[in-house]
Amino acid sequence: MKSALKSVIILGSGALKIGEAGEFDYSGSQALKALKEEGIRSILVNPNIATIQTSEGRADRVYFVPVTREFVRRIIEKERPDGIFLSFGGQSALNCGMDLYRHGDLEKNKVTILGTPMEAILATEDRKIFQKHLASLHLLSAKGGIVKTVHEGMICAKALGYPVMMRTGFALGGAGSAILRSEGELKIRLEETLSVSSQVILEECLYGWKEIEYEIVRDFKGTSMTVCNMENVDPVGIHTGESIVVAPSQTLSNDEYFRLREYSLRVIESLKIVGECNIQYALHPKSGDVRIIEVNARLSRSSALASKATGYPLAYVAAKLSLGKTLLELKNTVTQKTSAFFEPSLDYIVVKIPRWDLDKYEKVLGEIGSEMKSVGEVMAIGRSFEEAIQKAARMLNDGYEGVIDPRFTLSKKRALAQLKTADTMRLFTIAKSLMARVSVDEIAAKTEIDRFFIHAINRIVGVAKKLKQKKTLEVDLIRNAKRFGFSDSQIARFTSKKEHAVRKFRLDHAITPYVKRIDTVANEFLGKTNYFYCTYNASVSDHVASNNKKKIAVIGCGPYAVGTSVEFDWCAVNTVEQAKKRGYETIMINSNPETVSTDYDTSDYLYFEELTFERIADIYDIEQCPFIVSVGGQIPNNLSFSMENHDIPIVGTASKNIFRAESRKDFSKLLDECDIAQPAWSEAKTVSQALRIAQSIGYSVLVRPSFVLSGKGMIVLSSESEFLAYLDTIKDSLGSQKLVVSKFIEGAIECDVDAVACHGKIVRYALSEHVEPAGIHSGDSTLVYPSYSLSEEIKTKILSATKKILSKLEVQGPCNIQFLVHDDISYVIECNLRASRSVPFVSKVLHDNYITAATDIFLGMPVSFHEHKISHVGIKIPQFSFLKLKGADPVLRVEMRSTGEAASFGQTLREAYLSAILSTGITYPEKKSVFVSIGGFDAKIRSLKQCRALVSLGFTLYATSGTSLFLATHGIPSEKVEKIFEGGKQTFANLVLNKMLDFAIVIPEKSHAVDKKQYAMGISDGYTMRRMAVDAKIPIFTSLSTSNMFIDALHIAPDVLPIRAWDEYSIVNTVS
Amino acid sequence: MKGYLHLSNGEIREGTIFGAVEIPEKEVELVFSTCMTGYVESMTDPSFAGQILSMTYPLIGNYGVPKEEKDDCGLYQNRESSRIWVSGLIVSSYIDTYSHQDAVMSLSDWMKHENVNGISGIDTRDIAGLIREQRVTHGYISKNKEKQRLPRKSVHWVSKTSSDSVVEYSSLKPKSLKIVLIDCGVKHGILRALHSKGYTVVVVPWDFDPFNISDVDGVVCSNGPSDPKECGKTIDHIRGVIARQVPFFGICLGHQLLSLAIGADTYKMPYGHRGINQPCIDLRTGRGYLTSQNHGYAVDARTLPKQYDQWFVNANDGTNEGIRHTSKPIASVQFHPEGSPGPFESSTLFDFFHTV
Repeated sequence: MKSALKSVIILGSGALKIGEAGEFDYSGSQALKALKEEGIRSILVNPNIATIQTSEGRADRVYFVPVTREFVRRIIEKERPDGIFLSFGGQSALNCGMDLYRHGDLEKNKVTILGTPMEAILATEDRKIFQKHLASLHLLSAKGGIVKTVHEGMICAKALGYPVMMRTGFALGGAGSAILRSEGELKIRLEETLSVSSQVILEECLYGWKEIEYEIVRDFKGTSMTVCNMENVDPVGIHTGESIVVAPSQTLSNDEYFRLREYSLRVIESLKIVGECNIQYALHPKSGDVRIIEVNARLSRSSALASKATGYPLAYVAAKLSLGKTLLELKNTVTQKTSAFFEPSLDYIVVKIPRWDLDKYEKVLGEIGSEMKSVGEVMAIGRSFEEAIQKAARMLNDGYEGVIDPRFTLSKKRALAQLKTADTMRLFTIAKSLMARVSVDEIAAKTEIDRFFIHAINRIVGVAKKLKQKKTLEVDLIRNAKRFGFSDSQIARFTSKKEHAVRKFRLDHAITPYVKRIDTVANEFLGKTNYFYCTYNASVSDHVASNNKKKIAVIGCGPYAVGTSVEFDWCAVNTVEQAKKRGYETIMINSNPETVSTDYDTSDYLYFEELTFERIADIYDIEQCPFIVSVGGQIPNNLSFSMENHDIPIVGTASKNIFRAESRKDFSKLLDECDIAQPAWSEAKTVSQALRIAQSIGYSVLVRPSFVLSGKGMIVLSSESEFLAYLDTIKDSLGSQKLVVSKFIEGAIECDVDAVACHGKIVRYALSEHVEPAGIHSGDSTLVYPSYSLSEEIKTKILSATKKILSKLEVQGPCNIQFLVHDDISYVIECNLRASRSVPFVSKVLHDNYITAATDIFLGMPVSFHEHKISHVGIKIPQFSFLKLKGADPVLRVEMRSTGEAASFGQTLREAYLSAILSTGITYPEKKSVFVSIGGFDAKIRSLKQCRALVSLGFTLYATSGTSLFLATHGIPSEKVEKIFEGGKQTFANLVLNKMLDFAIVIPEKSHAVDKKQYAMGISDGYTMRRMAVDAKIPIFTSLSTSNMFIDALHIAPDVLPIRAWDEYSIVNTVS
Repeated sequence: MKGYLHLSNGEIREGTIFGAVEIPEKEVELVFSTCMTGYVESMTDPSFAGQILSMTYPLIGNYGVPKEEKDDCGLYQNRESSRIWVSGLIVSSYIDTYSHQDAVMSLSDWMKHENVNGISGIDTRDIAGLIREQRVTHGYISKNKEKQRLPRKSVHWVSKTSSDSVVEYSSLKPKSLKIVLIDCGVKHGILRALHSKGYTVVVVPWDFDPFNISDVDGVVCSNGPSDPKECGKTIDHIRGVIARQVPFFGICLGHQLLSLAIGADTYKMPYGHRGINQPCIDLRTGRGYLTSQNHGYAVDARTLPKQYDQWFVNANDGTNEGIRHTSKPIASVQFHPEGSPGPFESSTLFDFFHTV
């Protein structure tokens, strides 16, 4: 059947945030591929500029605008599509779709919802309708009800019995859900939640039940099947995004597996789902009772995982089914000859572990529960649970060598105490407990994790003990350890050897991994695709490497975390695509299931593997080809040193030069040689030395402990007393490590240069300017291209400095340099000889793919200089997930805390900014009231312009006493309010609870300085206010530069903001 | 204990013995299954009689073995027959630390008890590949590394797996239809499915004439092991059923026997269908069903007489999966509508006798 559709609009999920990450780039990209194959014009709305789906050649038209009803409606009126895809952009797209539907926008414009009908979506999104629907199918969901007041809630909970589960409707990542064990706990939580939500759901608590998920597809004729089931290792009560998950299920009998499967088909048939759907079950571990937790009538994080776990292209198939294809018409794209209508048979086990980054946020507890806090995930494939989980632990690239490490031990007593709370370290605590001889049954009882999994971890511990005992390398022992997933470094630790000695022993005794293919059919048919993993639980490899001289491997980005996000996947995918175009056979290595790079058809060969030296060396031994390490962010970059030491060829900038750029001393020397300014700095070995350095270069200073990587633990200190207080907090962990103390230049403008060089000569160059001053991490800053406030003279200086550095470091490929500008001097603060976070942004703003150029350079092809001139403005803006991170202070500092980014274009700065900021979930002010609290005299002075602007825009200002008084003396009217709770008077808290505010500007006394000790002890009023605003979903600005930009943009009303597609912003001219 | 899998192509694979340590007496056929669950059901499926089963899913034994349970009429609830029928089991990882509320013993203990040996630590993905490429179809498991010359005995497995007497499972429902089931090695899943549809089921031996039973409303011919052409007597009886215009339904081997009875032909497939994800298309409606299958022989659809239509075909390889008389109540399917192990959405087919 050829589709009668001519054009389809597809909604993306916008910026990455906790609960909606890269998985929707994967699903959207596959949907676009399906549309293209069917010859249907595609219009994509997604302000996430770093995604693959928004790249050239994927969609026919791309709009970098907010995925909200108003914007999408206007695009529909302009583009006149016949159909709309709502299920490929997560909950954000679905919510926008429901909004359009409810307002009649789709009907009015004759846009058909493709795939699952809206009735089904509404049924799955409304708990009451959903429960009724399930009852009609003789299926059960958790018992409970909706309550609208605290009183109702208390009565309802009494009937259900404690503990109870509380949920709010329409949620991403389980926001607002919690288990409450007593009346007291419930009362507090109800008051808090009912202040932001009109109703909550109270349910019987299924904590401790097994949590099982099924991914299901159905075509319009009613043929349906389950593609994959997954079992959460953590029981119900731990959000599935926070759980370790295995596929397929491990502890379900045949009867249970197929009973749940039958329920899934019953539900999907009754709802008339067309496309993909996810169902979550709770299964009682003793009685076998089943409750349906939820149905997601859209692609989800789990479906992305299922797709990678099985090799079944779920999103692509779902898109085809939504276009009216049937399962029986489609072919299995893996075997290329069998039907797409089959349930994949796995002959391996998949383990997913969430990646948290909670260290980046003070006051956020490591406990995990029914709300999602993780920012990414890894997926490991093995042929035993032990092998897979140890691989997964290493894939986190967070310092783990496996689930067990002799460096970290626990006493039995401590272990028993730690097991009580479920936290991000739980897997490792279990292993340590077993090492300390806590019994499997005891751990199972404390954690409610099935004994099956704990027994498996215990077997790992058993092997570890044997290694520790023997201390020698013996063939059988080492072979066995490898089958249990031990890495060379882990074996080395337990046997007190060096990693390279273990590797040598292995190679001498031919103990090497086997390469197995993921073929969806367990080898029943011959697979054609090259989707691989490595295992020691085998005796034959499925893959023989080609002798092709034109072959290249790309190391991907690893798990998403704060600072590593979809932009690096974009870079890796573009590299592979360009290398393919140049006739190369391409190999991709990555461990992150939320990516497009791990689609098996992105590269010629995909190794879904660990990004560790050991595995990269294994793959090199097999493939014998050079590697690209500079397009996947910091993880591959860091691998380059050990690769170079082992003579593994790397194309691009030489690793000795990568090292020169990363080594503070060497780089500083290089800058001096080139006569390029840098902030004064020095390294201190002792506390007194550190203080002396600070005194000599003058406060404020930026301090970073050298044992902390990636900016963790960096702090700006503005006085000796602050420094002393800080030293007090870190002295225990400091040990013999050095402290780097550098001059912090107050109020400097920060700039980012993205460049590409060929043999040290510049061929691409883009200078972007930050809206926020230095002191706020570049990943948390608003980035503007082209720069808007720098003088021509400074621009020339920056370009010339860039050229010198590129030449000195003989850069071959991408490079990012950060500059500070202050008093007409430009200082270099950092240089990374790899693709940066902002490469997709500048590439798309300039319609010039920097990675394509870099790849040609990697492959030894000549690339010459050119520069595009544009007349439009591009703005990249950070997306924060503070709402999910209970307790986190939303103040921005030198450490990065945003989880994603969005970008928009405009003819003016205002246009671009308004569109960008509305893309991050902030709504345009309608209430015309703002809260202002400005700390510090300088800041107060600086805020006057904005406050005047707000008044002239018709806003009512509410201000704290100090701020209000200051404004009054400058003739700006404001209403004085108290901060938190003060009897009878109007307070900030009241304004928040009564939803009276559009947004709040809360500037801390010292926006950059944080005394961690003071932080840990006390809670300031400012913090309480900021947190209150976040919890009540009120936009909050903690930097005057940002609020200034926002207020300025409010001069445009959103309904007159021009909406243009990406291709409507074109290049003016090109200079070669 | 170390153990060895001796393959008929001469290769020897080293692993670890679990279950019984049986001294091998013959070299038998190796088959593989791609089921990820259901080892208890598969191992007790009489269709696997005399075969060594290799599981492609690498973790086997996870949920142990449930207590043997029969319902009120004496049908097995959580297995397919009274005993293990496979003559050996090959797995990648054997899991001894099982965990399940219904389990009463480990898989290894059960196999010890039933005197069946198993071997773990084998690359079963590779075994599947070898069987698929037909570089090996026979072998044996031994604790000895030295190769032995073992005979490939031919056994009439249908007579060994069939019931040796007539057994009636009465329906509690009034006015229930009486169905005679010719037992060529029936899985109890089929009996459970028929009984749950409200039929009274009379199980008769494979070579028993169903019309020795009075008032027969319909006849089912069951699944069973090995070559359909070795069941001449059953084929004759099926011809009798057709002649007397009594509704007939065949499953798996029963499907092949019906085909032979009406003059069509069967052939040995290269490596059979054994798994729970075989896609079948109902040619009348165009709808697909995923089915559970275990067969090494297939019906050659080109040889079907013209009164018979192909009912189901396999969506992967186009092989025949079911036939149906154009006007009379005679039909059969190659797959197992009851699942166990596997999907059971096609179990509505057991309503056959109610609808004809």
